[in-house]
Amino acid sequence: MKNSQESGVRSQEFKPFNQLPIAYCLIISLFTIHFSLFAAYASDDFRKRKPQTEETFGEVDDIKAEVIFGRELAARIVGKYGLYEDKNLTRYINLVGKSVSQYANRPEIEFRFAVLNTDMVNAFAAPGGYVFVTNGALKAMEDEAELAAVLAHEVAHVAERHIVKELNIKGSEESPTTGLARMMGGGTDVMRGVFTEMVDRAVEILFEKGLKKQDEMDSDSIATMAITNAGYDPTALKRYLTKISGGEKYTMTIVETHPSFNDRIKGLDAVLAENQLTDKKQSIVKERFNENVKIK
Amino acid sequence: MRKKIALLKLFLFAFAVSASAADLFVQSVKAPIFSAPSLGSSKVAEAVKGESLKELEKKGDWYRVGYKDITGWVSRLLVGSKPPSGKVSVLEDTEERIEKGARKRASAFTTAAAARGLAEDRARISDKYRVDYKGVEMMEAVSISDEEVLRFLQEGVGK
Repeated sequence: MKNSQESGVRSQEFKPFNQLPIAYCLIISLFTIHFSLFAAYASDDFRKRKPQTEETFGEVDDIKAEVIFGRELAARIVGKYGLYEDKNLTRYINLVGKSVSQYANRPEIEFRFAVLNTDMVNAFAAPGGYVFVTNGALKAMEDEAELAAVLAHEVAHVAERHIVKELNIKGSEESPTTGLARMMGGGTDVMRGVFTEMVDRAVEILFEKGLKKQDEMDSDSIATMAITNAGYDPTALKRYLTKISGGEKYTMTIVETHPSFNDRIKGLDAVLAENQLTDKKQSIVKERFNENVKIK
Repeated sequence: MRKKIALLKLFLFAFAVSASAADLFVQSVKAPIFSAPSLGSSKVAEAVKGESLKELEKKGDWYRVGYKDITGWVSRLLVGSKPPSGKVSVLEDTEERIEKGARKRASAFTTAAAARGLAEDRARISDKYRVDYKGVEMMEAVSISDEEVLRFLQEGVGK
């Protein structure tokens, strides 16, 4: 009897989960879920440190290569047109640009915005987050939603790495930016020559040849989605393009480097209809735009 | 009874494993989740930067996802397969990264500083286009915090 009792006790002691299967499974579930959420709820500080770890150092190299390459391109864009130096306006353009770039999927890129001192109606983007709008384009705009739309179009080119893809720099690994990083890290005269050639080719794309038609159409679509997510009028880009399509005097460069206005407007109509946004009312923010954009 | 318990254990374990597979991470400041793959459909939830979503299906530029106890559609433009990283800069902290980079991948990437030096050398040998680094530095000198941007957007569009 005693043995039997002892045996029973031993059984309870050593097989506790047979009696508590649900609790056991719940504990496992909770631990697993808990740890799976660590990454999602990690602090900003943790995320800032994460790219510097050894495991992800390659990715950081690629992004740095993209920024350094873009910086070279940006120096040539500023070299060609010059900056329109107005601290208040520059700050305002940056606030609008950063508002829409928050809705891009490239949180690792510090987007920077500036106004170019030319009456030409256009905007440019260099890899790594350097975005420009001309004062001619600003003169043609009527509200902040239109400005947000134009900047969002340029942000989309950066986010989707359109120029880097167009240059077709392939490394042994998959990513075009990996090829860029390797090229820049070569350190030989030959590699320096290749780097120079790549920058010059990228400048030609920006100023003369233009990107692929599909890249431009995609950027229009992405920009419309981004400004809608940010809270601006979804039709702002369409309104802006419709307006400037009538003034070819100032838009020759856009005509040469972009698909026709007609194609872009048709494309935007399709995006708006597909997303049921044609009649959706959101903010245009006219007053603040007029207070900050006073270019003569 | 034992079979039922074993099945229950298996089910709960499978649930736990599937719940741990966080497929997508929000990269944008916020990511609205819609009832259908369209920005015009009704918003059923809003995830924020860094939160994980379970990918259930992909349709064009949209993912059907599980988020907390709901399912809905999120734009592919707002999510990525890895947790969002902090901003990568080539203007600061170069020394520390140079050292780490040299240890890890000596041949892959010289350094940010060296590359910038290389760029300036190259500017002297390439006269095809005029360059203005001071203008770029002026752009880089503009400093605006994420909080300022959120406040600015809130004041303008009420979001």
